[in-house]
Order: sequence, then structure tokens, then C-alpha cells
Amino acid sequence: MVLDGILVLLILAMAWRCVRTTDLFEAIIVFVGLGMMIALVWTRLQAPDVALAEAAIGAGLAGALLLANLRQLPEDSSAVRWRSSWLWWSLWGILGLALGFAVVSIQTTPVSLMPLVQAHLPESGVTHPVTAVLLNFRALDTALELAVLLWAWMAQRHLFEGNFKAFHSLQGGVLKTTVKMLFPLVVLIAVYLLWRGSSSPGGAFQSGAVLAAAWLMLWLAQLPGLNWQRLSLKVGLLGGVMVFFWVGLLGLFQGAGFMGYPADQAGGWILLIESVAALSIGLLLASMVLVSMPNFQEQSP
Amino acid sequence: MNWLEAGLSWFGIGLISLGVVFFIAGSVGLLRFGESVNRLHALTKADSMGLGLVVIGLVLQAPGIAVGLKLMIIWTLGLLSASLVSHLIGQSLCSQRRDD
Repeated sequence: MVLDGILVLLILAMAWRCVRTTDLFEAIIVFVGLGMMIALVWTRLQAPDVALAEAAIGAGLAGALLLANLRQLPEDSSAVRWRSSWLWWSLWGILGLALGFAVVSIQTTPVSLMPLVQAHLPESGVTHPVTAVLLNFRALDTALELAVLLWAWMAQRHLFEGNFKAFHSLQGGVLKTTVKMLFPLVVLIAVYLLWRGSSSPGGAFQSGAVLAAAWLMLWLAQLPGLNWQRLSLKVGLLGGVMVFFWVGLLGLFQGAGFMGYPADQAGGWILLIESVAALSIGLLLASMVLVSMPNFQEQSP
Repeated sequence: MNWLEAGLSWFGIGLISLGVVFFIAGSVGLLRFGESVNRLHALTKADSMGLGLVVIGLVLQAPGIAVGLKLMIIWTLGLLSASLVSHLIGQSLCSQRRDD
């Protein structure tokens, strides 16, 4: 209870600091710390799946993305003046009141969907309830999440202009040797997270984030990594969404409805979708961070 | 046999507490020291000694050998990444100094 109270106060203070500070670098660092704190809260709420995703994507990769883009912002943007007009306060005041009203009007006896999920778990093809919901009962939501990621990737490619400022490049044998040692281990962890997803916390998004981190490590150490011109990589970027919708259409023809699978094949289809989705997510996230890095040679033909 | 388990458990708690002291000292050093190199020095104490003591304390209380081994692997990875990051920060500081 004391720990939860401290966590809540810390999160509120960090969120305030993140918005209030005029130093953009500090704001990013605080944002990453905030992500870790929120991951801790998810752990306390016994939602390890969300905690893993928040720590890996919300804090880790989003932080890397923000840091990589910080260099491209104009210098004087760090001196944004904090203006508090009555309009600002009334706008956020109304929003705050509405949120408070929404919180107060939440039903005090929550309707649990857990019995329903547990009753249909044997038909889902997996044994972990979260994976059953994400990849079977509500597969469309997960497919659309993937599509949103793909959309963000495309949008970023068109915003990217490619004028960079100089930065300190990291070199040296220590970095290279350590990355060479760590790379196979990190890929192993990604596969483990994916495989574990069918029976316990883990899954495509967490695994994809770890894969992306592995590729970023290779790039930072200036080791030969992925060749982004290759056709197979471009197919890989799109693969997750495509496989998801193809399998979904197959379910429609087999009479299980769009994004539904026959109960006896569900396990296999889910494994296929999750593997391709993890690869796609990893490629998309890595590519999004890399494109915003300087010295990245990616001239698309 | 029971007193042995209880003793090990208390020993583990002692080690974890000592590790927490290292973490606090490292954090205070990180906040109070002026030079970046000194702050790095303080931080590595927390990272290697503090984490090590906490992990050994947790291993003594682990329910099985598998959990204990996993904890040791986590410690090894922590040591590896901490020393790598310290090296990179130090390298960056050196090259900044050369530029000035």
C-alpha cells in the first residue's frame, strides 16, 4: 500500500516534470523513467504482459526514437516559454472535470469477463488467457494495432528529410566484442518470449521489441546488420499485417467468421501469425529508430 | 534443518539490505558529485556491488535451483551492460575533452 502510494506520487511528479521542463533532453529522460514506473505499476496490478510491453516499447524504444529525433529539432525549441492563459486552464480544467466524472461514475461492481474467457480457453489453441484474447477472441484489434504501426512507419518515411547534424560516433573494440557476444543471446530471448506467449506472459509485441533492440545494437556497433534494400526485408516489414489478414480471410471461407479459426487448427495459425508478426514488429521498430539516426545510408531507389 | 533454512534466509535479508545501502550511496554520489567521471564511479559501485549483493541475497531465498541460476544470469548481464555503458560514457567524455 505504501509502495503503491509512492509509485502513484512519483508518476504524477514525473509526468508534471516531463511536461513542465523547458529542457527537451531532460523531458525525454524523465519520459523514459516515467515509462519504467508505469511498467512497475502494471506489475503491481498483476498484468505482466502489459508491463513487459510498456518497458520494452513505451520506455525503451520510444525513448530511443525521441533521443534520435532530438538532434533534428532546432536549437531554440529548448526555450519554449511556459504560458498559462485562462483559456489553457479552462480547457484542461473541463477535461479534468470530465475525467473525474468518468472515474466517479465507473460501476463499483466490475463485470469480469474472466469466466467467459476461461470457459472458451480450450477452443482457443493456447493456454494463456491474455494470448487467447489477443490472438483469437479479439484478433481483429491486434491486427489493427499492427496496421497502425505500419501506418506510422510509412508516415515517418515521408516526413523524413535527411538533414542531420554531426554527432559523436561510438567506436571501439569493447563495444563490438560485447555486442557480438550479446546479439545471439538477445535473439534467443526474443524467440523465448514469443514461444512462452502461448502459455504465460509474453508474445509478439514484446518479442518484436527485443528483436528491434538487437538490430539497433548491431547498427550502433557498426557491425554488418540488415540490408534494408533487400526485397525480403521489405516483404518482412509488411508480413505481419498480410499474414494476419490472409489467415483471417481463410477463416471466413472455412465458416469460422473473419479472423476466426477452426478450434482444432487455432494453435498452429496463432503460432504462425505471432512469429511473422514478431519479425514484422521488430523490423518496423528498428527501421523507425534507424531512419531518424544520422549517417544511416538508406537511399530507397 | 529448520534453523539452517531460517539462518540462510536471515543472511539473505542482511545481504539485500547491504546491497540497498550500496544503491543509496551510489545514488547520492550520482546526485552530489560534480565531475561526470566521479559520478560514473559512484554509479558503478551501485550497479556492480549493490546489484550483486541483492542477487546473492535473493538466490539464498530462491525456491529452486533454476530460479537461482536465472538470477545469476541476470546479474552477469547487468554487470556486462553496466561496464559497457560506463566504457561508452567514459569514451564520450574523453573525446569531448580532446575537442575542447
